[in-house]
Amino acid sequence: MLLGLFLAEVRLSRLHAERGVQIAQSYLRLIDPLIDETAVNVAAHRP
Amino acid sequence: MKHTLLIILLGIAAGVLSHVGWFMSQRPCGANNLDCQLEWMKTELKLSDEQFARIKTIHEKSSPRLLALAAQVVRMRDEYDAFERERTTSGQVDFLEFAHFVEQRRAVDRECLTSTQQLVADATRVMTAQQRARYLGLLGPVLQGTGRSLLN
Repeated sequence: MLLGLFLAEVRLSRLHAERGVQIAQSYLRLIDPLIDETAVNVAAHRP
Repeated sequence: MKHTLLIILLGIAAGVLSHVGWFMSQRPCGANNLDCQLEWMKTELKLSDEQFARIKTIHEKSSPRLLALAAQVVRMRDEYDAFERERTTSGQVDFLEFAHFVEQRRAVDRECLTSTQQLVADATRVMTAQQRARYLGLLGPVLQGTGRSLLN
């Protein structure tokens, strides 16, 4: 059971990191309609 | 022997169930809509419930205008492409029409910048200094990339 929870946490951690980047990109696109794609990608991948 | 096997299988089943249950309950928002973006901001900036409610109101108020402006920006990029196609194919451009387009484009750009500045200013006013620094840090490369300032 503990192994199951541990593996779930590992998956969640990876998923949160990936989704964070995607949501950051969509947020930046929402707040700045003039933004270009390069700037969005640079910003969203910033730690 | 059967007893041992049963215990092992029950252990595996409990592990799988706890894995699936925990994963499903903790997984992040799957869409790219405003609610997910706000949830992401809440987690990233560690916003309190009160701050979150105020920031949500600010974004909900601004987002229809920003979405409409984004649609206008896309339309104007298409119009520009059409002008460019006409220039390369026929070698002629209606300068009056193009001047009118440039004027419209400038107005939309100004409006976009003003709306974004307003949203950022309103949102940062709700945040603590630390949250503000983190939020502007997320926007920082965008400001550098565009050479524009989103702060008033």
